[in-house]
Amino acid sequence: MGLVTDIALGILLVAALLVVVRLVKGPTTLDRAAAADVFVAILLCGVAVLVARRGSTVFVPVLLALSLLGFASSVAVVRFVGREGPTGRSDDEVEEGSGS
Amino acid sequence: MSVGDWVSAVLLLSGSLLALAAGIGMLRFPDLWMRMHAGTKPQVLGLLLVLAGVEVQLVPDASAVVALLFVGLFQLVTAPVASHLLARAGHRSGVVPREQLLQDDLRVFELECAAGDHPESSPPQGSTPSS
Repeated sequence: MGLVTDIALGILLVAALLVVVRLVKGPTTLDRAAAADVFVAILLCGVAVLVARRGSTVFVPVLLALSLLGFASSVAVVRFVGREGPTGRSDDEVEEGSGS
Repeated sequence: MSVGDWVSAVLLLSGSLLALAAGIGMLRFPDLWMRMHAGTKPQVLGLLLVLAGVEVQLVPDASAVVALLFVGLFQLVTAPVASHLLARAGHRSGVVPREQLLQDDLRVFELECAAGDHPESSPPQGSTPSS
């Protein structure tokens, strides 16, 4: 079982690195928000594999906290970026606001 | 390895491979919506597979299994909401190329709002584009 969890953790590490590359490159804030969301999901998978590897349930509350934290953070970023209403679109303001 | 170990190994590895597919997709796909399409895999199916694999390992410990079930439930409830908000923000801020869309109902809704058809932003009800 140790070998299987090692392989799974390695695959998850490669996936997380690819997502981090997108997190750094991402041309807009929304791309980064999507990448951060996926990163939290991969982190959840990694902690779950760690629970299986150690056979102890110490990290299960961490899983619960992370799953809610990822949702709240992505919603906060998206609400910050896409604040304007359905009719009041302003692309230039959004682009300027996303640079910082 | 027992049968439970084999089942758990298959579930863990398939969930991890879905995460790897999402990583490759996030890096290679050209725009926001395609990246979100790739990113959905570890968010829902990959995480559920990994959690199922862990639950097979932890099956005597009922409280841990229930907690992991709640993790999967929260993810199932929250992932569509976050993706919906993200896709709508991408549409509104013009990040995704709208010209390539075959059907753009949100644009139709915006045009109807601009024309004053929806004074309180009620959802469109089977209407056609007015302009």
